[in-house]
Amino acid sequence: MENFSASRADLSTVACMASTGGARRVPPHVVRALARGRALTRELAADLLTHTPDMGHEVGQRELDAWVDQAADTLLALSDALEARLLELGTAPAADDRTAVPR
Amino acid sequence: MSPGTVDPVSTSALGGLLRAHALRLVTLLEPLGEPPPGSRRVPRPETARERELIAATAEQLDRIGSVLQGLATSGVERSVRRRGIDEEAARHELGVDGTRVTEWQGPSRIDPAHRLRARERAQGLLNRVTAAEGRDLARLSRELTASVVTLRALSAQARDDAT
Repeated sequence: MENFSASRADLSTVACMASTGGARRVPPHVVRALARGRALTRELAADLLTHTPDMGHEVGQRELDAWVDQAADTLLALSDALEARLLELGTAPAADDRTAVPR
Repeated sequence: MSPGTVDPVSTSALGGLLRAHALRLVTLLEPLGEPPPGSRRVPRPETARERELIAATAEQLDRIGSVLQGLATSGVERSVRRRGIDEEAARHELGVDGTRVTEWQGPSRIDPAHRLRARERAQGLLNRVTAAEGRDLARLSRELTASVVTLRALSAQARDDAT
């Protein structure tokens, strides 16, 4: 499991760059949505791990616990992907914005 | 809660939480450039990959949340039926021990033939309840197994995108 507090950059700075000229072609609401998505996915992952229902059966319990762990991991991976896109869009030259192709 | 029985309260709570989380994820799609249904707007290509990952993750959370909520609901229904079987059995000096109907210890004032019929009837009803729970748990197991595979693939795709 990854460290929830890990951060690669000061995202508020990136968001500011995007909305004030660092990447003018990216609408600020998209940058804000990326930042919100990054935070939300981390919050949901942490929240998920605090719920452990009693399945009453060892096998079922193990399967559900494994699923919860995997779902939390996916949310964290999603958070990393949103952060990477946020950094890319926030720091890319403005001319690249129109030709950006999804990976 | 008796051992071997799904706790409907905590199971329903997780199911509801997962569905609420799925909804919160879906609310990100439009701000990230997904046109609302019926709109003529073009989807924003820069964030297409992220929207795809978000939608797929939300779908898995909602799917498992729904199965857990269904399991909790049928668990409550089964508890009611089991209680009815317990009460009916007790009237014939019978008890329910897990998945088996047993006779109370000691001498009984009830006619043995009548008691045997009551025991067989109660056992038949209990078998149905036990079988239904088994089917529900088997369904949950299948859904969890399939979903873990999908979520694992989504984690890998997201991490590829992040590097």
